[in-house]
Amino acid sequence: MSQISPLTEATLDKTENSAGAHRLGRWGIAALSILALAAILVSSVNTPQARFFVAERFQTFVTVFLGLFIEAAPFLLAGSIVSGIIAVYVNQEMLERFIPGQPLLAALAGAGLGFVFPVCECGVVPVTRRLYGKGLPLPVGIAFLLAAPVINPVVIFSTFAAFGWGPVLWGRVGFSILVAFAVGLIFHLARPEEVLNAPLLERGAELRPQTPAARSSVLRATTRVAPTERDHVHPNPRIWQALAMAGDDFLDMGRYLIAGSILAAAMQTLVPQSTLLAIGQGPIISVFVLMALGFILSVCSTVDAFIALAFSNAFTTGSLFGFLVFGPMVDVKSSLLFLGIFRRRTVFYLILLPLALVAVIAVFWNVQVGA
Amino acid sequence: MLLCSKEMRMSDILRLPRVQSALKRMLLFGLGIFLLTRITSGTLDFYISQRFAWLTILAILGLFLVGGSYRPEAAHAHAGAEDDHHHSYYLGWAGLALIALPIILGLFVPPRPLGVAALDNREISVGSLDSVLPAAVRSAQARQTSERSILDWVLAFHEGQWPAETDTADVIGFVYHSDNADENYVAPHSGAQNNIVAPHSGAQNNIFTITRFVVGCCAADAMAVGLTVQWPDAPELVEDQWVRVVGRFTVPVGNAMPVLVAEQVNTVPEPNQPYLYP
Repeated sequence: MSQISPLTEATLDKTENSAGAHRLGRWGIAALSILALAAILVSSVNTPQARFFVAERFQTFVTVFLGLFIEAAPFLLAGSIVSGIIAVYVNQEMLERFIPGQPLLAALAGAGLGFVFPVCECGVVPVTRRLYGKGLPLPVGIAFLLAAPVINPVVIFSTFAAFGWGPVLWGRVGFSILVAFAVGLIFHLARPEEVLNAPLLERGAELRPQTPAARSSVLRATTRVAPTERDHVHPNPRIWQALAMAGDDFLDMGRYLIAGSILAAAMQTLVPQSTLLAIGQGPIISVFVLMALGFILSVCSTVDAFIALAFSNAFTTGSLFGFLVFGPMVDVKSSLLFLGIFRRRTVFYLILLPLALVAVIAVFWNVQVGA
Repeated sequence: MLLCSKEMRMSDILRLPRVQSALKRMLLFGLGIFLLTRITSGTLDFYISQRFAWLTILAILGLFLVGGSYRPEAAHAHAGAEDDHHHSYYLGWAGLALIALPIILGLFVPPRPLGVAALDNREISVGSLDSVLPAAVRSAQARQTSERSILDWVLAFHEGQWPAETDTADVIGFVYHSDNADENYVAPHSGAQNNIVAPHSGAQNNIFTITRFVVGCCAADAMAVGLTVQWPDAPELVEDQWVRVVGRFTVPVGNAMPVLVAEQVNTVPEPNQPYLYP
């Protein structure tokens, strides 16, 4: 049974497209409103002590926000450049050749795709979006999106550096593949127009002719004839095109990264960590506490193993899985990035499904294998 | 009506490919320059661990490279032959404002590392750390006691290596008057000072906490470590002030952590690298 490209059947109208643009705009407006509110709050505080307190909190917010942004920006840019290169050098024919058609194998291939495109949770989003634009089957993209932040050489090495060979390393890798595979498989049942957002569907509809013959002609044009024609325009235009697309992707995804970093920094500034940590000892509650912490902290998956190490003596092993498996899949920052690909309802499922699956695995580990 | 038509005109101008291209180029270069200023001013360490500074350098190069790719001839090539590949994203006002936010905050908010305000909702590990970072522990064991940082001491205590009476500590950190400082100051026992009664409030009982943030990745994962210091003029020390403390530790009784009895407390300027790295 062959996979249907998520975009070939897509149909949309202008209303949906403009609704998508409005949705994106609303995020920006919401973020600006929060900042304006903060500015008003600062100016309306009367006593010098209160003013000092608010100003100091704002300073902390800015430092954490810029810390998150500066740390994540290189990874997002790397992901965007990979995305631009895919856009120019990879075509649907190649994907169809290498991605298995059988749903189980396709979801499994998606979970292992991180070895081909080693990206963290910031970089994986533009790459996934670009691959969807190239006709990647829906479950493969979902499994890739959720697994790639962990199932790649860089993150596996950093987890090894922090925890060595042991249950934490193997559990992290194994459970990430399992959860990504399961969620990917669930999404095999969904139709692309139910899952992907309007602008992406529109792009897919524009890019892809409906008949196989017409599609083949476009593929031929892009893979063989077009490069020669373009070479007359500029000595090496393809790489410049890839970079220009990388810039577009970076700026587009950067909006979500910045909005997510604002949220994560605001939570870090306002929600006391001790409130979470004080209740983190039980086999069940500890799992949810570290999952919540992973979601809020939004630390890059390439280094989160070192953060998890900070909790290794105080928290159960199962809860570490909550942090190391769920955190890279979904956090405040990446949830907002997901909106660049998926509909809001899908993003909700993409948070809920990994949350439920990881929680079950982690609690099972604590209860059956031992904390 | 006039306002509406003006808005329409502005929005139309924003939609022009040439304007979009120029704005995107400006934003990409702007972000690159912003990151560059953090490196040249030496304030990058306020935000991320120094071991990731090379990534920022790569990001700057990448941003300049990508920003430079928005060229008229490249745009022409897109329009002519790459319709199947490229659909340029429209960057609206809200998107522009969001992307420009790091630049704006970087321009208008003076760069400062995390300080006492960040401790309000963070755990401070005084004399114990729920983290055992092998490299840091090894380095702590290898160092002379007078060269150990607050993190080295805290990790050593965590490993059960109590200080000898002859060990001199020489540490730098910022002052924090914690109400919890007295919890770590339970009846210390030393050759010089027996039977010191635990005070009830740090700021009023000659006790303060010398603190540093430990950063693994970026400011978002900063974790505070501290040592309880006994110093007669502790209440007069201003919070957030950076100080150098030289002294000796008391020998702990039971589970209580050693207290650093200061012989000298000098105010010092904020170090270039305010955080410690595991």
